[in-house]
Amino acid sequence: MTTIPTPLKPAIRLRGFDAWYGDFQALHSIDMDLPENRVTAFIGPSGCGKSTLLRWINRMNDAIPGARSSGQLEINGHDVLGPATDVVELRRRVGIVFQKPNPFPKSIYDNVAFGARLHMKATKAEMDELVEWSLRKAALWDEVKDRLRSSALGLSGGQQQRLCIARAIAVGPQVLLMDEPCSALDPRSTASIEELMVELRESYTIAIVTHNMQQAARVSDFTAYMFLGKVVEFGATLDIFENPDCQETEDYITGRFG
Amino acid sequence: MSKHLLRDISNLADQLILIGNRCEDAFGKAIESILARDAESARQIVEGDSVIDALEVQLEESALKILALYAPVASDLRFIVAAIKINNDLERIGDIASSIAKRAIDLDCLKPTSPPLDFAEMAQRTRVMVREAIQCMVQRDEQRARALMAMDDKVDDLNRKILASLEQRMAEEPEAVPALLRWANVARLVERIADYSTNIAEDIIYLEEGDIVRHAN
Repeated sequence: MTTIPTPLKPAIRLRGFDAWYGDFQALHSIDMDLPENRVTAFIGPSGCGKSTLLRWINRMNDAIPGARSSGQLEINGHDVLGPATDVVELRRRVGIVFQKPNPFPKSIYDNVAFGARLHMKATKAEMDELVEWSLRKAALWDEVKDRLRSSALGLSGGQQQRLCIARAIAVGPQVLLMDEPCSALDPRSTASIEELMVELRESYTIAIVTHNMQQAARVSDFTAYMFLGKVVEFGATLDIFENPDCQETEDYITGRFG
Repeated sequence: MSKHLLRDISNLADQLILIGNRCEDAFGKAIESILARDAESARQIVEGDSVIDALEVQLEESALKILALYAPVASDLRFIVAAIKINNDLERIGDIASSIAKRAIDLDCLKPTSPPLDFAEMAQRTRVMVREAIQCMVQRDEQRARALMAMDDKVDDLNRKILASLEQRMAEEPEAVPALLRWANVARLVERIADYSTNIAEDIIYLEEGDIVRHAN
């Protein structure tokens, strides 16, 4: 089992977690604690199960026929998988940002307000305040404050991705999941999202899947290397990238894989 | 990308061995020139130092290129970091060999004096340390590097003994003081070469184990 240094509180806790797509077992006995207010990166070759694991954390896989799991998965002590779990409430607490920015074909303002309107009743003034707060937190406010009513689709890729982050945090989540959030962005937008991640971890627990190992090294506090549905090594990012324990991790991050 | 990185790392290792062999050779010849009072050979060593300097710059440029192009991690990163540090230590060994050669030229102009009693042993032990440092580097052998680090104490002891004996001789043979002062300087220089060999051993341990053992004592 992989444990984290003691002063850190685990926000996401996995014990003996297995997952299947039909007969194919995609995850094998995952035991790990993702610490609160830290960024944990998942790296590994395509098909190793990192996105599958991420998607189980807010039960995105519920929609996939044949997807099932067993074992324990808790967020701040609350069971994620049980039948009693309110999935809508779970997804409010666990936001997700995807590889390709996916703003709604609505105004910038409405994109941010959309989720919040589902979860809370607010006056116009309160909603204005929440939209501004979310956009500021996502480091987008200064760029869009004069065109909040214009279509979100007119924003650049990097701005759209930050808008998706603003939309996710507007509903007050505890956890942010990011599935390759920068792979469709240019280096400048990537840098702004990376800076944002480091700031957001003060308020949220972040899990990021990335194929960009330098990105994992730059933004994360902890890194998990996955292969064939298993967590091969999980530890402090600096240790993983300077002197990993497992030869498989070393081979993967130094490009000697395969 | 990986193949290119491996090729560049292998080239870097070759460059390190090249500069290592040059430095070992310069130090060995500097000791021979001072013991044989051979000023001509000493002058060649002083002139040869510019070749070592050029190799050092070349190696550093290769290492920086690898860092900039490949952003290496794990053992590759440790190798580049260790190579940059070892390169620097080797260049210092080359410089010191040149300084020893300059003292050989000075001594050649002075009245002949016998070298300090323990000097030959100190120089021989230090030559072994330099050779070992290069071997550890080639073979990436951290066990041997640890053994090498332990050899430094004896060289330090010999240096102290030599300085004590030189002090005594200076009192007894005042006319030999200018030459004996040069010998004191040479002993100190040899002792520093042993220290640089120890630094290289520490870098090999970092390279292989990821632990920084410098200042551990």
